[in-house]
Amino acid sequence: MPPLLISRQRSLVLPIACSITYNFILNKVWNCDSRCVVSNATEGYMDNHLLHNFSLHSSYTRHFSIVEACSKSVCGDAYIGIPSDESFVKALRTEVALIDAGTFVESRDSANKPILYPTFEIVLKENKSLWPVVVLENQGLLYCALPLIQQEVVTQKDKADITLADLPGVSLAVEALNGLVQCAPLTSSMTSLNTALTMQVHQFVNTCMSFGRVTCSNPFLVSQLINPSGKGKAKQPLWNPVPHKAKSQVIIHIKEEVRCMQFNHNEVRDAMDVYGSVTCKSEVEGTAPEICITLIQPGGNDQNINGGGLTVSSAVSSIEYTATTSRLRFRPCNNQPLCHYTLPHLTKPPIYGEFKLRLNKSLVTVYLQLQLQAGIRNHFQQLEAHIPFYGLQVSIVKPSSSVGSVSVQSGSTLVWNVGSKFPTKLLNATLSTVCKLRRKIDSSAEQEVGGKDMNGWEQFTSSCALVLFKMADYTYSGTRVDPQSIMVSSAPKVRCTVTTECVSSQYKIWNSEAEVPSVTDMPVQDLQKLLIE
Amino acid sequence: MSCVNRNLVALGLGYLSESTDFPSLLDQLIKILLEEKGSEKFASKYNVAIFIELESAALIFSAADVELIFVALKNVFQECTKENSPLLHGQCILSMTTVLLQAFEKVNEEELGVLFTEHIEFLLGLVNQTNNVNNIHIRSIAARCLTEIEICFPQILKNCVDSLYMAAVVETSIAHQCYMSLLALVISHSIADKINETSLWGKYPNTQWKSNFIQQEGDTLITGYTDLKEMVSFLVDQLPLCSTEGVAWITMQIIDMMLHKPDLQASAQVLKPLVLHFSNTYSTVAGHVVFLLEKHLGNLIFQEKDMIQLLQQLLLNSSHPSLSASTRLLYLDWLSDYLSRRPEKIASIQDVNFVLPGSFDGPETHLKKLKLLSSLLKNKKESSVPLLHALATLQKQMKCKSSIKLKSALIKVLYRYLCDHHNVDMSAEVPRILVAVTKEDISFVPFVLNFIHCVQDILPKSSVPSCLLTSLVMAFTQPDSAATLATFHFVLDIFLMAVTQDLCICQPKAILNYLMKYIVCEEVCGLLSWMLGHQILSLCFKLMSNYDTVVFFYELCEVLKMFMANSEDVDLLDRAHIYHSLLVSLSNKKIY
Repeated sequence: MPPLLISRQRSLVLPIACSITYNFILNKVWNCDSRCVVSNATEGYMDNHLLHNFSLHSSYTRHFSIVEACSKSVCGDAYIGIPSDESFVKALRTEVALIDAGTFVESRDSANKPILYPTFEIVLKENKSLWPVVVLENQGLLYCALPLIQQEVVTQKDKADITLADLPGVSLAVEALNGLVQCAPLTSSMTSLNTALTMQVHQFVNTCMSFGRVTCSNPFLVSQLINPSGKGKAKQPLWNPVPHKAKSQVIIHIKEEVRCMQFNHNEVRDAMDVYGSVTCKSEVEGTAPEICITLIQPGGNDQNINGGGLTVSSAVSSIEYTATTSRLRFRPCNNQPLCHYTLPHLTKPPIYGEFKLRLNKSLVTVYLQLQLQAGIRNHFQQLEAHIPFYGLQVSIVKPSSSVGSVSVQSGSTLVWNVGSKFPTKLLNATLSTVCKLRRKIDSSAEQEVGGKDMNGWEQFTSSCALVLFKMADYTYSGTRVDPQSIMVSSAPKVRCTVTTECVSSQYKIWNSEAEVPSVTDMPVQDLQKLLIE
Repeated sequence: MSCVNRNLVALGLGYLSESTDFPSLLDQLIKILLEEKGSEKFASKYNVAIFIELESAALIFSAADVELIFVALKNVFQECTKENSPLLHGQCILSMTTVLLQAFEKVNEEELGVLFTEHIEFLLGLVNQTNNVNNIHIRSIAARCLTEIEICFPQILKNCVDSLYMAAVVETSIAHQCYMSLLALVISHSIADKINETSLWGKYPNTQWKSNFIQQEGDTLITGYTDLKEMVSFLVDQLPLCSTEGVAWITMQIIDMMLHKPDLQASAQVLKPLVLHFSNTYSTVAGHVVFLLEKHLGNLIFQEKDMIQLLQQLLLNSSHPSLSASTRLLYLDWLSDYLSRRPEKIASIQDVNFVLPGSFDGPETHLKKLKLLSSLLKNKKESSVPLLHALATLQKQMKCKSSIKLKSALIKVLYRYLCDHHNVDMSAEVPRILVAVTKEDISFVPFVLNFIHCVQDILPKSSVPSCLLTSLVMAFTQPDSAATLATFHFVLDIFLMAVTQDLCICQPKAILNYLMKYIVCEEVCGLLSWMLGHQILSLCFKLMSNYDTVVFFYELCEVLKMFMANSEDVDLLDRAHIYHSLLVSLSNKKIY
């Protein structure tokens, strides 16, 4: 059995008199071995474009019986019990369009359906529905929680006027589910929650969410919360249950990601984002230590100055900006990102690409050229290009690449491994190959369908090449932390380590000879003008 | 029993699933709990304690069951005290409290009175062992159990405020967060004029419970403004020691107090540091704290620059690529709420790109952003063109890939546009877009028909539904219609909806001519499924019954005749024959 987690949670008493309690449902909703359609342009929330074939398993469900009792009392006749896992998961899959994905479902697709993501109204039998089911997706798994909310909201027929801002239970549910994701790091390839993992989740839920009330969402503190230190005279913060006794050390890691969509189209502008996260693992002395670091970003990152933005963990108590630095003061927050940054002023991609794909019956001609931008470090831990043909089998007829090797992975993805660097002089590499496509057939079937049934294959011309790269000790934006700037309030000497990496994320180069899923410029100026009016 | 069995298996107690009923299962569980101690028994006792917590509703039938569980768990609890196993220790009191509270749902409350009182005494006794380094976890759990009891029986711990306050002041271990959370709740309930009644409230006790353990010196309840103010200051001072979730809980209690006692709002500034602390965060819980403070006490705490900072942070978090989609969508919702309450801040959005859908956004984000944009531009002149232009990415994505989520998003956005901007431009453009999309992808028909229904409901005077339906009928009765036999049922759905409208919308002649030429003709009619054939005949019947047949008498006769000539299905032939007879032999009035 598989993925995931629990269900109805309750009880925070709020100004607006609402109780919040959660039950969680941990479900594996799909497997990734899918038939399907061309990879979509969109990243998408719970985007299921690769996931048309999946199998259903339920795994971990947790109900809080006291919460259910309160829910009954709060809702009276309108109370809807939580159904069996199977029924719930089936309804959930319908709601997120994993089943009935090709047809109109009124309860899901009706034009007047309120838009309250990330909560979903899960329609059960007899026209009953559960709301608000908070859904979070991670690694192909859906994690759900159902907060207990006040009766008026539950029974309100027209949910168009509801705002999630009035439901703190939803925010807590998102945080709790994030904690559960960290507590049970499952992937869609896992087929069951083993006993050890089940116990781990139980311990986390019972320690940090007893009675469905979330008191701490950091699963890495669980063992320390159970066996905390209590000998000090000063008050011990909950976020530091056991003070560190040995030599202090701080390890900073910056992970920068570059996502990109290149179209090579006159009418369509390329899109790119450079963003990253800084994590800080610290083992420092003191009851309530504070750490200071200076994040240096050559392009600056104060949202008030250049529209960029640093968004920080709740552990950060203050930020001081200069033109190119952000000095953060924070309490230890291991395993959680200290901050996330985004740098919208960076618009030049590190690698330019040109991708052409032509289909001639069952033969496909692929041309891909990659050009490293001058000034970018030419040393990669990984540098590959993937061209997927979902649901088809690919075989290489005539491989030809200026550098590296070409192979087929999982039967349906053409993979070009460029190597660890671009040729030094030209800084570019080219792949030009011909492949043969066949319909994927069941391994038990003996006959091949090779090239006859080609209905719908034209969709593959509207596809993209995915570039995957990884560079260690490097950030594209130049973001760094000066180890000399790291200070710990409780320790004059600290061992500091700073590491960085730069990776691609959704780095797509679209077939320039086909339709692309993007448009020319949006009406930015007109809209801006209207807003100011 | 299947859910119970599943929990048994998950907890490694699968061998108990052979128990045929709940009483015998309970016996088995008690037996494990009462087995001799030993490290190898720890795991099974812990699992049994968890199982009892999970399945308390199923296991309890009488007060005797509750007492039995209590005795067994207390026994384990005492064993743990000697063996220092905080995990099992804590689980025992969690399970006991759950069983007790659950019991009020099933057992006569009078039978539980003594046990309930003893249990609260027991928990308070634990809580009062402040700074005992040997039972920090257990005391934390005890405080949480008391919090749960206070939630179920509001004001039951009212008389303990001072003692809880003292415990919270003195406690230096991490248990103090649970103490403070409990204290904040008890104070909040104590000063509330009206409390929310739960199912358990009123079942117990008829006479208010008094702690024998905690000695009250007269009426020292904190109800005066000064005391309350000090208490709030104390709670706020301690917040830096709490987890973010703890801060959120306590702050919400304080907001609650301030709303119940307006006098207390004079000291709302004590919460200002929280606003400054959390104003740059991505945490949904911390972010919501700031948001609630702004919403409920905004004018008392927030200055203009704080308001702007909150707006900037909402904009940033709602589009930050590093954050999860769930988090971004949540922030988008709050942004929408913020701007609807404070429309004057709309002009402060310096970069409209934050609210425009981008290339990397999925259907849900597209939908939410366009809905927000629509509401921001409500009542603004000439907003229709840029709004429709903003739809372009979504439409382009639909061209590249037929996805139900994209279709669903498009129809919802257009509906929202029409509701927010029901003007001439929008009324003309929305049908045009919908017809164009439907002509390209006929599976979009059910979405459009649903759209028509929804618009008719919300805007009964709107011309959009009729205009749209007329255009659809025209589009799908043309010779170049993209419909095939496999997709003809979509077209038929359009005709069936049109037939309930005015004659000028329905255009029976065009429909019948189309049917004659392409559907009931010799080549195709025999291929029609039984279901489709009946639907076509239903359409004919509705035409006969809804309109004056004089207008399309010839065409309808021809369709029915062709049906009779070309169909091979006996049912269809019969039905077509009956309708034809009705048409030619009865007067219009009789048919009508």
